[in-house]
Amino acid sequence: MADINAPAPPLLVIEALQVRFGGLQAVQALDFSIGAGELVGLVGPNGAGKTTTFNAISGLHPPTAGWVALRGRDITGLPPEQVSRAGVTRTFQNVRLFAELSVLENVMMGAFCRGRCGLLAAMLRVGRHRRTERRARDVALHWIERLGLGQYAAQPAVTLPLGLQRVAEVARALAGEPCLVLLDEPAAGLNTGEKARLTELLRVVVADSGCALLLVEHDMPLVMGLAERVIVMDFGRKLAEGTPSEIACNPDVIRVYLGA
Amino acid sequence: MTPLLTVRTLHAGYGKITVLHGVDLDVKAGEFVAILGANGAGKSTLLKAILGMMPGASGQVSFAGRDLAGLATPRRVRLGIGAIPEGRQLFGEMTVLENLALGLYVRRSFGPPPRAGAMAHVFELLPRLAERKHQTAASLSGGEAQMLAIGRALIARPRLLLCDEPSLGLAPLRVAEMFQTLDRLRRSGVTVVLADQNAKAALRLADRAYVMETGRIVAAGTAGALADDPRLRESYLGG
Amino acid sequence: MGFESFAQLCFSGLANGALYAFIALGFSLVNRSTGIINFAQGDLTMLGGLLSAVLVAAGLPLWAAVPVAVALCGCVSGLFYQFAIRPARRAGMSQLTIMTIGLSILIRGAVVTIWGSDPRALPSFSGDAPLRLGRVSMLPQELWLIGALLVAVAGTWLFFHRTMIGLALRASAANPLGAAYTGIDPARLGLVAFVLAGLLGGLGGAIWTPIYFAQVDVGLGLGLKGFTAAVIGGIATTWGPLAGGVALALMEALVALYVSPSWQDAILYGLMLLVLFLRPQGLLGKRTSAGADQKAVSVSATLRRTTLGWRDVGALLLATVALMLAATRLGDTVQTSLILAGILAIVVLGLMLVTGYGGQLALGQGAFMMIGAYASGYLTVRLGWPPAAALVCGMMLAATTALALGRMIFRLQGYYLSMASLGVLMIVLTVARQWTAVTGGANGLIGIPPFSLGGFVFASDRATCELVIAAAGLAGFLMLSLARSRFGRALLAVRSSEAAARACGVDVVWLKAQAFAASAALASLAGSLYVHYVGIANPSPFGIEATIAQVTALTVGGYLLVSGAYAGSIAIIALPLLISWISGSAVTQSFAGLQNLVFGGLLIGLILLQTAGELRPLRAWSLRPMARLGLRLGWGRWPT
Repeated sequence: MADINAPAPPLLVIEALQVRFGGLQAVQALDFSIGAGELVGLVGPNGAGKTTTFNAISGLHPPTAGWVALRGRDITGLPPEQVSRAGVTRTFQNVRLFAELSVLENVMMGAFCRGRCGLLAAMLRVGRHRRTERRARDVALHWIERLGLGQYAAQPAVTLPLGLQRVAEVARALAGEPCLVLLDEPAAGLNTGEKARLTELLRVVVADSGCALLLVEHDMPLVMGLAERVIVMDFGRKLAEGTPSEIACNPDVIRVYLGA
Repeated sequence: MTPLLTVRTLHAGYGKITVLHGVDLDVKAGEFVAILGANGAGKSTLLKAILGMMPGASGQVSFAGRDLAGLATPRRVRLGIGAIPEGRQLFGEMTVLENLALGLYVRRSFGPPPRAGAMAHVFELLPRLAERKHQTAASLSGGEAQMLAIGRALIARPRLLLCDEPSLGLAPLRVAEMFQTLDRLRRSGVTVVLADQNAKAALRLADRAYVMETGRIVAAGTAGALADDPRLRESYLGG
Repeated sequence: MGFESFAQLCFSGLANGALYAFIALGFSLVNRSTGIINFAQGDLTMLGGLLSAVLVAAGLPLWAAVPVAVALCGCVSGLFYQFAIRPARRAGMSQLTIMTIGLSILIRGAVVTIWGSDPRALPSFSGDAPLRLGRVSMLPQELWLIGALLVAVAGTWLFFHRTMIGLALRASAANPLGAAYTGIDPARLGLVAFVLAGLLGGLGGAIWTPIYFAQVDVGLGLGLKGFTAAVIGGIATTWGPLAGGVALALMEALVALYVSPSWQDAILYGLMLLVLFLRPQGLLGKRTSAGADQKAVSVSATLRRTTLGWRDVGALLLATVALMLAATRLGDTVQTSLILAGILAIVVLGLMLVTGYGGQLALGQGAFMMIGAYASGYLTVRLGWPPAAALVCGMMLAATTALALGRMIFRLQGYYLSMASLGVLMIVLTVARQWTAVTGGANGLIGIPPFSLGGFVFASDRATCELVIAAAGLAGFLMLSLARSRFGRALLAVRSSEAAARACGVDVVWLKAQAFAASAALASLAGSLYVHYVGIANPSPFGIEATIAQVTALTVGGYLLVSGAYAGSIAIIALPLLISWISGSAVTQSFAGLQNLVFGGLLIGLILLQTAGELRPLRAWSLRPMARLGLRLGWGRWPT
């Protein structure tokens, strides 16, 4: 019997993660974990291996060694389509919305991993397909409304300004009903006002859906203001980990990252 | 003195959506001009329109007294407008040397590619590139790749250099390095137009600046005057 | 076999291989510079030989005729680029590839119309006395060919690595936007690549012709061989085309010697499939990092309808029923044409799913038609199955084959499906001709009964016509239903960003394989209906010509428009009738030439029209209104 008083096991556990490209050690001996509903920032200088870590978790570039476990299930090296089904979705550093689809359809694509109907079902319009489509539409509309994209739902996604495109990508990631969303530099290219709005939205997301966020971001004030815990990477390794205030006065971090 | 670059009532956009609503801009030879503004204000679009990459743009762009209407991007580059594009746009599978050689394409389109010796002035400015000259562009780090983009644009000695967010995606230390490089450029006498989010750093370098908002120029002046303007400080420098 | 005869065999293979390598080199040149697969490369080679022969016959000395012919080939290729590819260059790669198919047909049509289809000879450059090396004899002409090839390969390497233009070509193929920023005009450089490819093709053809003959029909086969050689060796490498050409020719010679010449094609194209599956970068190619995202699609994307309303279904149903009712009152010719158009439409609808939505140019739908045709034929004639059961069995077989093939081929990005599907078509064609026990060989399976369902026999043309219209209507409904579902959305999503689509949970390989399987099932259905109608199953209606008709119909109708598939199919069936009616001639040789000219012109002209909306206003004076009409008809929304 499990002890009810034991702390809940972490949502995502990463152990001894290693990614190598040719001779380059992009990520090595990386360990960290994320709890359910936690808001974690992943920061570090350029080339420190943050995006590589994201790609290793989400399956775009499987790690060369190490483990990634989600809710106790080993998801190491699964292809992206299965990782998203397992409950980890993501956004991209340079926004990748689907050019030929509307905002609504883009967000509905996010729910693709929750559908269980194949070609024949879609072709013959059986009930299962109709239910899948309705559910995808409902989830998509929910997040579109919640993140304030309502008036743009029918527009081609690529005609939105960058700030809103990033929000649409967040909505798409959320439509997959994930337990963890990986956000790759969501604030890059946004101005101060847009950043503040994004911060608010991300708080709303965590409060609404209860899913955890792992956030790669260069904008230190944003990360410090938003994250509950910050992990600092340098040269593919974990340099420090702690609350924003601990990180802000960590001398190692100041040396490599803030350059002061 | 007539300006090197003149932009008058420039309108441009994507499909039905207009991004630039009548922009006017002047850049004199030897000046360092910053274009500031929130994302989506139209900075990138303005630079692209100057380069002739916005089909359907209207208004006048003239460079060194010549009207650029109807000229495609490669022709404009040949006239002496160099660019550090958004996203760098390097040739990933080719070596650093080959990338730099292609920067010289506007000067010599025929015959064999130039040797490394002909690129000395670029290696002097960007010594990191000399160390990496036989590596492919794809194997460079973000900062080095940005250096290569600068080198490729500079090698043909353009009369005007357009820089589109060169610091985007770089870590703070690399951003500082980038601005040092731009500063060296400025001192070497290249005319630069810099569009950047990093308004503080851009204003430190610039002689003059324009502030854009929703596709219009809302303020213009010397860098010092703009840096002291409290209204602009609030909206663009984050207080 | 003694060493000498083996050496002799190898040497003969080497000479053939040199020709294949010439063609492969041309493919590689255009592909590396522009990303286009130039299906007209083989026809340019044929043209080089034929023009040389024609010029010599007209009294020009050989030393003058060959350079003139080669230069003309360069001109043809260059003009094609300048006036067809260049104005349409913003179109998708599939469309540009289809344009080169158009050029291939155009060249053949022009040659037949002007010079007929008889073979023509050309004297050797330096006599016919064979040189002997031990007991191996070689023709001087073969040495000419090999020598010219070596020079061409070395020249190509120098060109790409030691000249600014070559560097610029590589750069603009890898990153056109970056090229524009460095002052490179990719559109202009493409001309260089096409002219060089034309010259290479012409030169190879001119040197080869004295060994064999120049004949209009060899072009297509040579093109396929050359392409196969390029794929086997590695299309993006310097020595790959050379190695691929020689390897292919040697294999050919060995298969002919040890197995049987008639199985040659099946084995060679099987080999190519194997290379594609196991080592898609070619034997000499380096494995490149995982494919980047495809280029972003134009911003002006208009929105598709996303739901399937009763209005769409109602319109489709109404049209189908109206046409079925009308079929009873139509004349025989019209009924026959409607049957053929309906069958074609079924294939085109499937093709639309793979090529239009999936963005993958499939060129081997004929293979799946044959699977359906022979399943229906064999099961009903030899085993006495009811036609409906045989038809379903064929569809399942075709779908399974396509699914298996798709799972292998869609792991790769780019032009591989075109190649693999063409290879499968060649293999199935060979099997159909050679496996006489089952297929009846070239004579075919005869005595196939008309289709019947639940005791009703569709014996008359009228009944068949109604059956085919109903089937085409049903196929249209299924495609419409797929296109407006999460499935269609996912296909379009994959085209704009594969990484993002995968992160959304789309299993890309499986998705495309499913689309391919659905298209194969439809092709099989069409094949079954066809053989029940004509009563005989033989390979000839399903070859390359059929592929060209299907691709043309898809092009005419528009890639993403279900109603367009019908319109395109009817146009393709009606055109030859129209041509013969206007020209007043029956089906003759010159008629075939004329028809090729029209089809080729259609393919090139329509794609030009469809992209004309993006042309600069001044040059498109007469195109613009038509382009606007085209956009309204749905042509504007083409995949990129």
